[in-house]
Parts: sequence; structure tokens; C-alpha cells
Amino acid sequence: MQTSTSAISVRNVEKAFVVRHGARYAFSGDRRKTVLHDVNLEVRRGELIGLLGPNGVGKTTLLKMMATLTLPDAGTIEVEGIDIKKDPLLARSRIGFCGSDDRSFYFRLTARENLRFFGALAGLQGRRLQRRIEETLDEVSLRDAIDRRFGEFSSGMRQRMTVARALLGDPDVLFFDEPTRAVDPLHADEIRRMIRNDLVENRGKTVVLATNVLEEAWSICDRVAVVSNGTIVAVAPPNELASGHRFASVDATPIELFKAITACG
Amino acid sequence: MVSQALSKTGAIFVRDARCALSYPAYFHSQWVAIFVEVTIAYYLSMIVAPSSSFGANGQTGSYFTFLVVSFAFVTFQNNAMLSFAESIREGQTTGTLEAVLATPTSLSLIVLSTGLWSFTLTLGRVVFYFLLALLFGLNLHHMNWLTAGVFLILTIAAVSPIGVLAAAATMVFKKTGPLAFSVNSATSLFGGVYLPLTKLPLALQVVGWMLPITHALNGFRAAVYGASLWDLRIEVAWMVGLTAILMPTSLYLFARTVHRGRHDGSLGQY
Repeated sequence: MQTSTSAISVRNVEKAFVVRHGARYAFSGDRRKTVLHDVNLEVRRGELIGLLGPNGVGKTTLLKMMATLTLPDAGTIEVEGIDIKKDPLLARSRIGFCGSDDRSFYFRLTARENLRFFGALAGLQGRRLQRRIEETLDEVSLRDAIDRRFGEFSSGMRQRMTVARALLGDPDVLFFDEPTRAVDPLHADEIRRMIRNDLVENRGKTVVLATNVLEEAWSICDRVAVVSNGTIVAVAPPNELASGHRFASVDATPIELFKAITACG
Repeated sequence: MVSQALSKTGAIFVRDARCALSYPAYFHSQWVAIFVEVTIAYYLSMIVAPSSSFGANGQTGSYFTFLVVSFAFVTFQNNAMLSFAESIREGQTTGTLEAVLATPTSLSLIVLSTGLWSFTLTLGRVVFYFLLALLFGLNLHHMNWLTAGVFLILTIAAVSPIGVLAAAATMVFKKTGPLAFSVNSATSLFGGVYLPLTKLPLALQVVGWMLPITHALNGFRAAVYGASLWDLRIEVAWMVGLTAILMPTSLYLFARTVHRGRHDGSLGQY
């Protein structure tokens, strides 16, 4: 299955969504909005790559496609050599997906019960499942809240639960969609260090991180793929991306840098 | 492989049970509702004389027995219509559906296991229904328990695909309240829940005869009056045949709707 050093291979991917506006368009046919076009990306095994761009440029759509939740209209995506269209179940067994929807748990169940459920669906059983629940909650600093109902959690705690869920099955490839959104700076820093140090450097995981926080991409990613207008306009290590701009040597603010990078690539 | 499938099914069952039991007032009030229903059936039956059309297996039956069997068994169909679709709908609105679909779990296991807790609860409710009805004078002396047990299993098997179809409709249309209500009410009427099928016009009798609930009710009513499985072989064959056709068809349609959701990016939309 694994033919190269690429953990993820995205080739010529296109995606357009049908835009529906009620009965008005019922007789005029579908209108399609192109979200991604001609997207190509190779992610090396054990690499942490950031998808950087402002809201609405297609980062989440691309991430969801790699995680098998959305199908590409054209092109191919392989995760660990598995074509996500041909064998999505096998691909999912190698993937951990941390979505940006921090509500995606059962509010009446505790953290332990929620993770027991999702862990079982990820294929874990018995003691291994119990152990992984405790380990992952430790990793996101929620061990003390293990028997509290999810509904009682703050937004930041909920977001950390989505990270814990992604880690449960100890997958080879992890997708994080804005994992520090709504998380306080202290815990955000913990999550970033956990992704960089523990997951990537110590355990050799492959991580794709969608973010619109420049500092986040800059501080932990090996390479950054700049997404603009539905395509990847540049892929390079953060320092190379920055030095490619005329003001790299002056004291550009993060906002100026973000604007310049996402506008020009 | 099998142990993993059982573990996943068990996890879905436990999730649904825990969520349901976390609403104690709602959970306990359903037993009160059953008491009210049995009481209504009892007093309604006092103004309707026993008739051969309420009986089965060549015996005259009371309207009370007719109604109790109807009300108890139609809950399986109601449950199928509502619980599968509700589970999908709840998953859409809370975002858990996308999280579940991101796991390496087959769609058929996800959707079929969704009905497991609610069918178990419905079974408990049916038992409670009959226990209460016994206190009100329901006569089960002639009950053929083997026939009753087989029809119970056949009923769950035959109405499950209806639930899967309701779930598929929810995947596409998101909200299906009036549609589900109309289908449920119509099938209850045409299936002979409120009155014997013979009282309906011939065209509706034909429609009713094709529904699984009709044969489930006929079979269980006949079991109450001692009918054997051989006596009910046509009903059994129809229900087995219907399940054999509807189950794969409904699972296929559900898979298509999920595929459509993945394609148009609407899995998480509500």
C-alpha cells in the first residue's frame, strides 16, 4: 500500500457545491459554486503541515475531503496509500479527525461515556479503550473532568474533547481543523506543544492543521500550504514563505504578513 | 471482526440507553401513558359488542383484545418510523452524525444499531401493555406463545427497513415531521389498527394487505386465539419475503443518501 514517503497525496482535486436558494431555483437548474480547483499537495510521513488562509477559502472542505467526509468531484486523494474514494472505511481506520464543531458530542453523557462510545466505533475495546480514554484526556488536560457531563463543559473544554477524540484510536494521520479555536491561550499553547512535540516529534504522526492563525502555523508547522481562492498557491517552510516577501526583513505585523501571504502566495 | 461489530453495536445501544435514561421524567411518563391508553381501550370496548371480525382463528373476539393488540403492536411501527429518523436528525443538529461517520464503521451497522435500544424499550412497553391489560380482563388463556414469539421477531424485522427508509428521508430532507406523521397514520389505518381490514373499501384492503403491520397484527391476534405457525404460513411467508426485499433496498437507499451528503457536503447541515 505505502509506495512512497507521502502519507497524504492530493492530486488535481476539484470541488464545487450546489447552491440552493429555495423554490426560486427549482425551475432554473442547479447553480454550482467552485470551492476548490486544481488542488495538489503531498504531505510527507511524519510531517506537520499547516493549511493557512482566511475564512471561506476552502481549508475545511479540503480537510474534510482528506478525512473522507466530503467527496471530491475530480482528482484523487490517498491517505497512507489508500484511495479515500475506493476504500473509505480502511482509510478512516488510519485517520483521526478533529473537526471545528465543538458541539459534536452527547451533552447528556460524561466525557468518559462519550469517549467510550467514539473509541468503540474507532475499533477499540476493553482495557485498551479504558487506557486510551485516560491517556487522551490527560493529553488535553481534561482528566479531572472525566466524569462530568459534556453539557457542563466550557467552549474551550469542548474543543479539547474534539482533540481527545481524534487521538483515541492512535491513528497514523491526524487532521485538525482550527483545534485552538475558543481555547484560552494557556491551553491553546498546550495543544500546540502536544501536536508538535508529542504527536509529530515523539510519535512520528503525520498532521494536517487547518488554521487562520498565522502565529500557530508559523510556530509549529514544518511547512505551510497557503490556501487562497480555492487553491493552494504556495507550499514552503514558514521562514521561506516569509522571506519570499519584500517586507520580510522589516518589522511586519502578523496581520500584514497574513494579508500579504494569503493575497500573493 | 465479529467481536468488533458486536462491540460497536453494544456501544450504540449503551449510548442510546444512557441518553434516554438521563431524562427520567420523560422516561417514566411513558408508563403512565400506557396506563391511560389501556384504560381508554377498556372503556371504548364497553360500547362495542364482541364480533367475529375482532377475533381470529374462527373465534369471536372482544374489541378490548383487538385494541390492546393493535395499540401494543403498532408501537413497533411508530418506533421504527420515529426513532431511526430522530437519531439521524439529532446527529445532524448536534454535529455527532459527522463525527460518527468519520469512524471506520459500516453504514448498515450504524443505522441498524440505532434501532436496537428503542426496540428493546418498545418490547418492554409491549410487555407492560399486556400486563396492564391482563388486570383489565384481557384473556390470554388460548395464547400460542411460539406463534406470538415468532411474530414479535418478524414484526421487528419487517418494520426496521421502514425505519431505515425514514432515516434516509431525513438525510435528504432534514425535517420529515409531517411526512412521517402522514405515513404513520395512513399505515395504521390501512393496516387495521383501529378497525378490521374487512371494514375498509376493497382498494384500501389491497393496500393494507401489502403492509407489514397488517400481517404482524393478524398474526399476533391469531396467536392470542391459539393459531399455530402453520395456520399463519401465508402471513409468515409474506413478512419474511417483505423483509428480504425491503431490508437490502432500504440499506442501499440509506447508503445512497449518505453518499449524496458526502458529495454535496450536506452531512453536517440541518
